[in-house]
Amino acid sequence: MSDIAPLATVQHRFCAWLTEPDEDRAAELAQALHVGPGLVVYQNNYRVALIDALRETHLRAAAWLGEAAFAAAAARHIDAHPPTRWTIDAYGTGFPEGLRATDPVAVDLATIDRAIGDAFVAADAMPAEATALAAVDWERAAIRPVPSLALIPVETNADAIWLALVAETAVPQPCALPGTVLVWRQGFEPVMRRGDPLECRILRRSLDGTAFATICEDLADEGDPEQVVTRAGTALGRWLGESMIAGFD
Amino acid sequence: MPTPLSGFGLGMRRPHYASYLAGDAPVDFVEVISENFMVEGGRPLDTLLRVREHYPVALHGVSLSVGSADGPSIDYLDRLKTLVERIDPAVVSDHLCWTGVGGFNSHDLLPVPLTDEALDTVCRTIDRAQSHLGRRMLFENPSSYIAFPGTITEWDFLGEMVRRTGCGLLLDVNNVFVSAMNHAIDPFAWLDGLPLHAVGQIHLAGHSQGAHGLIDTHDAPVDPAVWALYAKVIGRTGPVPTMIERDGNIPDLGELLAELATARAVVAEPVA
Repeated sequence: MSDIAPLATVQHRFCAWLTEPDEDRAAELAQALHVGPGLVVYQNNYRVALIDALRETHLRAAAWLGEAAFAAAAARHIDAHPPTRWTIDAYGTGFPEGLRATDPVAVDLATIDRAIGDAFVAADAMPAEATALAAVDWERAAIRPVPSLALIPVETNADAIWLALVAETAVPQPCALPGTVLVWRQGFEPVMRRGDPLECRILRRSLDGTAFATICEDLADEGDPEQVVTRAGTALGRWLGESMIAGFD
Repeated sequence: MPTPLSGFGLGMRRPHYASYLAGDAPVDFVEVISENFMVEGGRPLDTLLRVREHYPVALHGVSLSVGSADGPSIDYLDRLKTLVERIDPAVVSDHLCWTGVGGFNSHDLLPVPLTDEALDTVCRTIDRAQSHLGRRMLFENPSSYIAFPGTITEWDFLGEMVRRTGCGLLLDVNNVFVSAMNHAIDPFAWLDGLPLHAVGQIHLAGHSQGAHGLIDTHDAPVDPAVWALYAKVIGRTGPVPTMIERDGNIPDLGELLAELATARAVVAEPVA
């Protein structure tokens, strides 16, 4: 029927053209496809869709950086990291890290943006009630956090800035404030707060399936055993009240 | 067996969710982008499940990539199957296109070179997808802005695709118009070549004028020339489930319902 190159060859050439950041090189690649000037429509669609996707996922980072700086960062990311997943919602892995040279607050804002988005569509789970504690075998049981829970390391007070941007209230002055932000979902609403170092250590190991008693024993080796157990128990009560725990395995 | 699609519907877009959730939007079905709901859980899925209590749902995908030389992603097919089982949609559709190759995904509906080899690839992937889902799918004719040299016509390609796989055609009348104009072909002649007997659903949408031709932007009302083509199609096929796609400059629901009323009027008085 035709003398066109094999399908895979044509498609690889097409993708090479589509993702080529250098204009002169892209023009050469386009010419080799022999398909006419309408080709540019696809290039425009490709870049606009990815920039829009990055902006939608990282709304607060975009607001913080401003349109021009965000668009420039998005363009750099698209050139360096063409998409590979079937869902455009997954696009942007590594995007926050790429902002480090631009603005450390933006890195944290973008990381929180992504975590909130992931929590929004995470698997559903009924939160455990405090009454469930009575039936738990504490010698063996591991705490099972809700599937939406993520522990996000941050270097700045971006969590406070993020919340102010959402609420459209006065944005606090940016400052260094290393720590961990807990992100999860209550019902259908993603929520977040700062975690204290002890509870973050317990939650991290719980996510790995380690038994609560084992975690407490290990922590007790580092300090006053009674105080550790008391603090861990208080944290557990708080998590239950915050719908952060799905059950006990 | 899922409820068959019939009547007149709209693409379910966020500004109108409340009407669909209340069940008070006067449409016969809604269509959603499958990938937006191929997620683990949360509000989007809950919304769709609750809308499903009021309306039949058409699932319209953008990522099956039937024209890719790589073949289908099994992960994608598994996720789509999970959604199909959750929603029990009236229709599952995607596009005659490819989205990437070699691990790259453009997230755009790229044009398939209409060759014998591509036809084999497309049919193989459609067979695989229909078998995986255990149901017939519809595939939409794309809007195209380029033509690869030495290839067959799109209508012949679609006709053979339908014949070999048993899939149906989701006829996007605006895409016919856009592609015909961009390739300087009479859109009515384009229609004449299509396997209209296999049309299971119709899309209507708006387009805009770009620097190199018409672009399928879905951000404007349906063009009068597209309404004329639609009337011609309905005159040939009889009533076919029809919907308006609007993805940009999304107006009030009332404006889209007025457009849908035009479609109803066309079907009520078809052109011979």
